[in-house]
Amino acid sequence: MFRGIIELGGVLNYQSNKNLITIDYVIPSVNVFLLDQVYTLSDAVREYDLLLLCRLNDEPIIILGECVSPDNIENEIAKWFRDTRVWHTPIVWIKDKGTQLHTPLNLNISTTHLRSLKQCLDEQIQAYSNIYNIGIELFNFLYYIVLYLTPNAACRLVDILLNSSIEASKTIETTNINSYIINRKLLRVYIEFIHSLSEVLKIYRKMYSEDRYIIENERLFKDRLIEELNKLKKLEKSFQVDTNYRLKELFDSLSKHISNRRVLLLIAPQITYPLPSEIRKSIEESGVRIPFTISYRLERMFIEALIRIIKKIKELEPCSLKTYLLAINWRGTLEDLKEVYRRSVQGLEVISTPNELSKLLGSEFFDYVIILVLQDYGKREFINVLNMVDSFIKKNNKRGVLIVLPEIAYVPQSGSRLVTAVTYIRKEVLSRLLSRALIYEMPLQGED
Amino acid sequence: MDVLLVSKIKATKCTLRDLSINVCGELLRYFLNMASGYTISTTTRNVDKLELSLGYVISGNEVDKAVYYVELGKSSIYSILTGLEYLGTTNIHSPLRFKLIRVVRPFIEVATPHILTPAHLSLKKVYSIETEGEYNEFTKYINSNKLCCNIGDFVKEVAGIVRGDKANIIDSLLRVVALYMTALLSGIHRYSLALRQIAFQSVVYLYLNLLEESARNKIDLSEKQHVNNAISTMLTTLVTDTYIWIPYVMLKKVGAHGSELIYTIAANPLREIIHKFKDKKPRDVLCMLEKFNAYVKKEIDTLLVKIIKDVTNQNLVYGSIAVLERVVNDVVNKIRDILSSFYRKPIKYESLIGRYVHLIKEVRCRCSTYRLCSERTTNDKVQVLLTATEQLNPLIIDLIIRYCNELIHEYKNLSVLIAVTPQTYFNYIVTKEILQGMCSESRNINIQGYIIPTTEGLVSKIIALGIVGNINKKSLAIALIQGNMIVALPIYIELRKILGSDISKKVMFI
Repeated sequence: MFRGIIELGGVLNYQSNKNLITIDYVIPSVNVFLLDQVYTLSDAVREYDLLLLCRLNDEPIIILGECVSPDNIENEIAKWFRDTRVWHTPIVWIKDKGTQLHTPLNLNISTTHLRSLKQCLDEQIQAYSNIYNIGIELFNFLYYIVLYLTPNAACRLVDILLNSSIEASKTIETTNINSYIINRKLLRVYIEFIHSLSEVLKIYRKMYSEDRYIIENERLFKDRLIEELNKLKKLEKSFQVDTNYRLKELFDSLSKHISNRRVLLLIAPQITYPLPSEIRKSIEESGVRIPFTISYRLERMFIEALIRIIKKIKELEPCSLKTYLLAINWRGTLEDLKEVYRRSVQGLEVISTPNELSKLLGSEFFDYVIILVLQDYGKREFINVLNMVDSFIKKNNKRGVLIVLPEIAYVPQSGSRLVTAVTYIRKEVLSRLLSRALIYEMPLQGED
Repeated sequence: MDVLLVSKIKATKCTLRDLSINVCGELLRYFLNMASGYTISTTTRNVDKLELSLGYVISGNEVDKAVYYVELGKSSIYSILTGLEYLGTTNIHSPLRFKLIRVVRPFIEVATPHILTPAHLSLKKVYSIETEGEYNEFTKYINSNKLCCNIGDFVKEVAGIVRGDKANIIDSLLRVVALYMTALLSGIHRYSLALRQIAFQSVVYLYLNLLEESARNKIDLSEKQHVNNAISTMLTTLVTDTYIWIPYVMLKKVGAHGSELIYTIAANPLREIIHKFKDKKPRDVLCMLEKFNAYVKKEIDTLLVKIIKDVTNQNLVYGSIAVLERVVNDVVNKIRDILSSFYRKPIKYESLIGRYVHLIKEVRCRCSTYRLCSERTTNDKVQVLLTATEQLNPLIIDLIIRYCNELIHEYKNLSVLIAVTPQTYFNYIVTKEILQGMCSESRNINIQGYIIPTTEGLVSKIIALGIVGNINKKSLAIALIQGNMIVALPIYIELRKILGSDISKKVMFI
């Protein structure tokens, strides 16, 4: 008979009973995003309700879990079909007695066997929700690696993730990180948590490398397992405080610099090429009208988001605000892109060469410079702009900020499904994307 | 004509004088591994014969990819290939897209239990089969255009060229072929285009290494028929697929549904020719594929002969950037000429390796700055930093290694630090695996990856701090910063702090 024992206090319960599955740890709402769809990603390819780290007679195993909702059986059945498109570790379907979900491949258990699972899951949802407030992408990647990749490939990637987290935690202590977003201590714990979870998943997925987990001595192995799980549980508790990004503090800081000052806003947007006229014609011939010069994403989403950002800056009451599009070396079809921005954003002027920027910085007086990058831009041109602006700020003893908004953000959401992906939807840009932005205050440290 | 097969991969167990390698089993293992995006690995010890022909078939009103599998003896490859077909048609982790067709000998009656089950299934699900006679007709095009990669003979010839660790080099060779097969059989998604780029550039990397190794050992590479044939076949079919099949499908799919591919910069050259496929029927496209592929093969065969002659006669220093530049420029110019002549329209950019030409120019330019601005460095330990993109492949690292070889003398260890994003894990693994086998043993090259997110500024920033924290100002030879701004900018900004005025000498952007 299947028996589930929840031991989430950190002390493992070794039972002599054979055929016993002991659940050591539960990760709630595991969202797996396809890694090769970063530009258009809008939804997880699959969300599993839980990932159970268990031992079957003391041998570590991982099992995915699905809590069947009796109210939405159609949706649950759809998951079965979706699962044929990926391969993964076994899924145990957890359902109440009498729930009408009868499909093949039925590895399912009744909730009565997992009495404490519900309570434990609720606690874990809260803990992980707080953790995910700081960042999700590395977790997404970790889950992808652990659930889908071969042990060899998974091990190599988890090892470099571990290495990255070790190096990162060293620097948190010694380097000045932009402070108003989140406190340093919490950031350190966050990195330690990723590290610890990677170590734990490595054990349960049985990824052994570089002699780190040679299980010669069973006792030592169990000790290590206990040690890692205890560490993970301890770290989890650190996230009971508010982990939300302090966007209010960011706006307060901006307000301090912007209010009653002369502000220069430089916008470096994602370069999107117009549809070739042949394709446009071909689409239109099939009866689909294309009202956009470049693309729906650019003209509906990015530009509306940009207008919202400019509005927010204006609300901070600058003495004057000059807004420029950085269209450096935009030639050929990119002239159309320039036109779209000019037409759509009121008062927008265009800088087409580094000389024009140089002249602007030399001829007009600005107290504060905001460089806003939407997604991506030509690196060489941008670095040139960044260095010019930074020099101007240093030379004139001014201040500024560099904000790079990501292409997409993974953010926590309320409810049992913890993670969602958002992109440049109007109101999301300030509440969600900004919390995942790369922000540097200027002047930058280092050379001019 | 409803079928066009453009490339045949033949492999058998191969025994060399001092080394026995199951070429066939290893090739299939690597193919399975890469084609599944590293989600499957298996041993294929018992597979000792393999014949696959890759090409195109008309399916419905479309030209689809196809793999013809020839049953040879009692091997269990078929079940593995059926798994690959699942990857190609259903599994969403894999980039593959193809239809599997089994070439069978006639059976009088199926009476053995282990054959009966697949026979029943084959009839129930009506799997595609073809008779040997028909298949032989289809492969006439392959034979007449010398489009066969006989991997066993390829390996034997390579073993005769190289003097170093043969097993490692052969391992890399098989991985390059597996990567080629994966790329050729993938769909038209943005990453599939990147796969074609990394496969094409990896084939060039393999060829370049063989070219230099044969020149060093005074072996005439032009006499190595199987090497030239295999390289030429791989390059040809990737060019054909990229410049005929992709724009054709792009037009069909984009016209119908819109696609992210249309916004991909690497697809720019394809956008220039896409209209040529308007109103083309599947048979017209198959005819275009047939003509273009034969034309490209002939041109690339001639090009390879010319490259061998030029490189051996022009006193170029082997292992230098000059040799690499010569080979890459010749290849790019040839593709441009072919396209201009075929489409009667000059092509501004080139998709498969065009971006690499700019990279060489940048590095060359950096060499002269480095020479002018700094003393020649002699370091025990040299570091190189790269941010990985979906185009990362061994040829890119090779350029950086050549740069270090030319400018920094007598170094013993080269550490290549790569900032890997979740989207580039495949590139990191493939590049490391291929390089490990091909790099000379005389210098220790250590590749170290770091995972960095592309959508979270704060986390990227602290990981960038960690990566740059490992950089020693004096040891750093070059940092190549490319890709997503959330990754590239924190690394640049942190490097700026430690490099000071050396930043312009040691950091480059693409």
